[in-house]
Amino acid sequence: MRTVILRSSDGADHIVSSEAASLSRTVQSLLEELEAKEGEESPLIVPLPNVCDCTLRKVLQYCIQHTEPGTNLTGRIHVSETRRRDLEVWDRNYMLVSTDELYHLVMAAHYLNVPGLLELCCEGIANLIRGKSPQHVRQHFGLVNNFEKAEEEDIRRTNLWALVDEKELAKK
Amino acid sequence: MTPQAGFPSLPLETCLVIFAKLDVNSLINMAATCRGMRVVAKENSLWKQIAAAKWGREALALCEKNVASNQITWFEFCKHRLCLLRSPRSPLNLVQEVYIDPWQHIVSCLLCSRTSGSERVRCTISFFLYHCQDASYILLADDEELQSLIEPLGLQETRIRAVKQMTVAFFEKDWKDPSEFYGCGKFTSDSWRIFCRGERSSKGVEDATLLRYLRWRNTGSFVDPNPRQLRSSKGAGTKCNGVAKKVSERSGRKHGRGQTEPGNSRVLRSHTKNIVMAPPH
Repeated sequence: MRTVILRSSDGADHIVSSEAASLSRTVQSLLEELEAKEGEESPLIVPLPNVCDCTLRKVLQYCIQHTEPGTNLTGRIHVSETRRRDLEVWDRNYMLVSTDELYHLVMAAHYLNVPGLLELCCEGIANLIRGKSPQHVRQHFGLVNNFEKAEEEDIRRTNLWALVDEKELAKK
Repeated sequence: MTPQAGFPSLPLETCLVIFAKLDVNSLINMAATCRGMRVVAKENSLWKQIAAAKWGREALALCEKNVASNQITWFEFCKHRLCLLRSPRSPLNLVQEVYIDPWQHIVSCLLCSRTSGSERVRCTISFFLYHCQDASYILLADDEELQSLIEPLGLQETRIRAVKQMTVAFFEKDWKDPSEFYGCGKFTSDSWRIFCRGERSSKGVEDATLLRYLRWRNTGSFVDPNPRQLRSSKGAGTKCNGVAKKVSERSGRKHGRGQTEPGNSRVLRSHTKNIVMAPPH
């Protein structure tokens, strides 16, 4: 099996199988270009200036796990029910990260274009949002309330209709 | 170099993927956090998806026509036709309390008017709404099939006609109040305002059961000047419940059929209007 070297923004090299690296469509197309230019034999080094070392390591964990025997190049899984369930459990554990890490991960998944990982991260973020009040979401994600008076009034009316903030409004 | 962490730095398409996974309540909450998120959370495609999932394909075609002709956003369209309230459930256990989704709510009002209010009626309505998963089902279904589902209620032809016409108008028309729909009267409109819009004022409400609900909502008890209507809320034994049911059935029969008021024959008027159920013991 061919191996490639992925170089993170801070210059750390990661050696992975080309199979795992190709889960990222961005890397896949870069590899194809490189191969065409430099021939089959030379070592393939892919610089990834938008991904830092620790995030790349995390992404590669995903790629390696999801290219274990039984999956083909496109990432489509032709495996038994057991394997599928194992992967689901693995994915759930994989998502046990801090909000900050999740951000870096989702940005990396977007840039590297790893559809499965992107989907997984989006689900993770959606899970963080569900059931939180606007105030709570702001705190959690570091958002700043930058509404103007008129907008605030509009929101208050909508949310009275939705009654999400009833307690908060009552306090004011 | 680490990319700046934070929601606003996420690419729009990724935000949309995340938001598409959210339920309506969370989406509304997101829209209230900050400006950037508000713009994304009101995105047309998101709300169109919500409409499609909620009402089905046939209804979506009507919605699309409405949105295009009235030039409103999908957010506005859905906002008017959804209910996110979490009204507390009262010991009265009315059918309308269960179905707070506006479309289901109006259907349940159409079905429970002019009935005895017995448990059978309640079950029939629940079954009907369960069987017709969404509005599209009603739009496609045969009249006969729907009529057979609600046979125990009586007046099935009129009721199904009203339900069908209401469903079309619900999506197609730019309505303000349910009383604009065929077959819907003041009772439906009041009920909609109270349960789907959270109105607490009893001003102008005529229906006795709605008034009782409002009294409970506002004061927490059923203390009633008229002792005949007083049904104790908690810890009521079977004996008491039996009496309560009989009273409601009797009054249903008294007012029920054959008393159409002139000028109002097209409105399914409700007299007992309510499905009063004994609280579970």
